[in-house]
Amino acid sequence: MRALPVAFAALASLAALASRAEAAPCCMSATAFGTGRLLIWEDAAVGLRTSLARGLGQWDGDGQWRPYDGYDELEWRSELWGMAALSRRASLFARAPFVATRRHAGALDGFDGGLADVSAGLRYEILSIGEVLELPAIAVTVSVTAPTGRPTWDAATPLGVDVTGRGAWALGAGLSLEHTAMPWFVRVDVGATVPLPAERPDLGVDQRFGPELVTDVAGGVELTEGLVTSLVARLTWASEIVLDGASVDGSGRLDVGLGAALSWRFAYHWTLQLAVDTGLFVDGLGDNQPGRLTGTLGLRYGVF
Amino acid sequence: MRAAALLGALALLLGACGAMGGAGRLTADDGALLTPAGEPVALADTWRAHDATVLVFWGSTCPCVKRYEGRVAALRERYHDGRVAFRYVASNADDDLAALTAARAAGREVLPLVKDPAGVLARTLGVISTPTAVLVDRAGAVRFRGWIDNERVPGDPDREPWLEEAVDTLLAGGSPRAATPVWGCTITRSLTEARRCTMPEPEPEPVPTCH
Repeated sequence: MRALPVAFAALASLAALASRAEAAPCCMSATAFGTGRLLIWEDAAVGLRTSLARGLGQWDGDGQWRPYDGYDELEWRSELWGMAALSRRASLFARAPFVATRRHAGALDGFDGGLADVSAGLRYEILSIGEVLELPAIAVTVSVTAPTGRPTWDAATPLGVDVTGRGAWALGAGLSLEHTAMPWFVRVDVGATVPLPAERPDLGVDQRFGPELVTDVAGGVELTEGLVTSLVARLTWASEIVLDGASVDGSGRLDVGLGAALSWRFAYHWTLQLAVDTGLFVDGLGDNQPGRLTGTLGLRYGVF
Repeated sequence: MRAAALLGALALLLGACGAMGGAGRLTADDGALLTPAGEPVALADTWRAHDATVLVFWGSTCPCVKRYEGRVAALRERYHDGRVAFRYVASNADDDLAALTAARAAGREVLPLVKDPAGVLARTLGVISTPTAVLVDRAGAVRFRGWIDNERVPGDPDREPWLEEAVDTLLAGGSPRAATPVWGCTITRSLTEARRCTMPEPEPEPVPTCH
């Protein structure tokens, strides 16, 4: 639990060094966190992001934070991703995550995993960074997620460690706004995901996860050429699950968190990415949601 | 109302000027430029007096421009016999005359630096990024529009000097490659410049592939 404040303090200290940075406004946030976007000179990029998340507790349906007691959860997620330019403004992306989970509860102990839900989409830059003086960069994304993971109803383990997906197709759309004032940037991402109905053979009903709204607000600074640090605040809200047309009371979700990231383009083609993310483990800042502390390590290769 | 006006100006900027291929020939009226001291200069006076005029679009904060400074200076030195004129053209809305003066004071004016007010020349030529290079012949015809070379990693052994080849071909009386891919920093425009955008003549050559 002390790791995150230390990480934030370290990043804040690094930010103080930013005055000498030779920042490139086009590229500061491109690889700063997440899969990001293509750098302006790249034809394509591929990467592998691996995260380890420890479950610390759970918010119940009333938003009360309940630390785990006698229960332990650790999730490993590795995501292969790639993106390719279609033009100066448009790019395609795809992600293939693999998940492995270990859970321990009382006398039960389980570990399993596999391919999770893969996704693909299109990103289009309406305005590039710095293109119009008075406006932020504007980009839109559309995506589709395929139910390639194993859903809850196909789980064969008592602790559900073999569950790797949601079992439903989902359509997504997002909007990204970014403003730079070298060497600083601020980025706001807003996205909506609409899961499509899927049949639950175990219950004999049609299930539809509630639409999700995801918002990230990030600020960062390029400390020196290729070294970018950033802080991210995120919020995910999902409405209630619907079974055969009827909403399931109390099944909506809320997840709020903070993260910090550091990316380092240590060679022309290669970028190393580090990130930490945490929920805010107090009552009311979560709902029907496990609370996790996550560390991520990523490696990115730009093709040009 | 303010939002509607902004959206209208943006639509004008993107619709009228956003995806043009660029003029194939400059006229005497194209290129009303300013020196860092604010004195007007006509670009036509330059291209009419030289077998080749190289315009390199410049941005004060663009790292690609900085990276190519040495190479651009070497090019100017190579063609020192007076047949080729070189100009740095500052088209960014946020690069004002003070920015040009500061660049001169910092020793970054490796080519004569001129301001392109409201980015009109960049739009006329279909230039969207710095340091894109444009080669104009003695008749004002645009003979090359693209990147200085194909080098995206410094020291690339497979470097092809696109601009240099184009200048050599033109000086030898040939037809240079017309266009190359371009990368670099997006030229900054201002919503207040939308009404000053001029449409170029129809362009028969393909639009440069952009990545």
